[in-house]
Amino acid sequence: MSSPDTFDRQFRRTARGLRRRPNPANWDRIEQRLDGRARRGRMLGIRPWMIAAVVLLVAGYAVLLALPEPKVPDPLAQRAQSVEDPLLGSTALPTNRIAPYRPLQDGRTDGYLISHSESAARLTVAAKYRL
Amino acid sequence: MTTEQELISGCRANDRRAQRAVYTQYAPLMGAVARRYCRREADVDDVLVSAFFRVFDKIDTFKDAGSFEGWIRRIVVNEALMLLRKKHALKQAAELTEVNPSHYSIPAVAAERLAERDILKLLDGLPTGYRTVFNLYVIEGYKHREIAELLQISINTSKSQLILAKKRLREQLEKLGYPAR
Repeated sequence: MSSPDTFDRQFRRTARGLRRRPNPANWDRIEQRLDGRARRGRMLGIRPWMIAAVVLLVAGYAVLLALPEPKVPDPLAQRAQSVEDPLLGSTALPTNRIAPYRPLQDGRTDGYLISHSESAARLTVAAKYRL
Repeated sequence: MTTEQELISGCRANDRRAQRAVYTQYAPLMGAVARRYCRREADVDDVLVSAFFRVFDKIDTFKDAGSFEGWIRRIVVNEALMLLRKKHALKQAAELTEVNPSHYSIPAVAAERLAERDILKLLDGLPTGYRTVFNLYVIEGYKHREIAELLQISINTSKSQLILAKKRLREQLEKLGYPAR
């Protein structure tokens, strides 16, 4: 606080005793502004818990996006790799995709074929093998 | 009878009756405060409306330990200063280089006899800058450092404005028939 002289003190006392009759329309204007504030709040309907919920949702989505994708082997990718590898001059031996020879299990060891679906009468020997 | 504490609690709960009661109780005093800063009645009303809206809007920031009236008064003064700043009424500020304050002192007897109706007449006769500094220093009790910060002027300018305000007041007191020497 400042240290007023006698004139200041007297002037201050008198001035502080002043009163002014307020304009009757003032309260209506204040009320209008208070109502406007309340209406804006209701229209927006924003509450702190709503903001918190939105923040949590966005954060959760961001975390999901940032997570690394699971390493499931892709059969298509593997197939392409196995075809392209020899073309790229890789020193690795190409995979043998042809199954090793296995003798037929059906038939007899002396060379006779056995058919399960055709009768023996309908089976004929090709001309070039005929004696 | 509702106590001040009950009114404050009501305002915090956004109770319109409590807000109305606070306005009814303090509007005459705060209207006079605003009137000391603004000459135009329309400006006084604008300051009062903005200030009381701010009071109810910021009621949660009021600390119960302080004076409620003092808190409202500070808001009214700030709103009045904002309005003056918006109107660029505080731009012109003179600074005195050499001054003897005793040359501009006013005898206390003048203030003792000063009628309330003449207070506003005297203040209205002062340029806005003088009147604002005089109001803040003499009536609100601010220090020159605080006034300088509030009005964004130098401390010396604040002191100069006060001296010039008193010089002008002494001249006006003489015109009104008060003993000014």
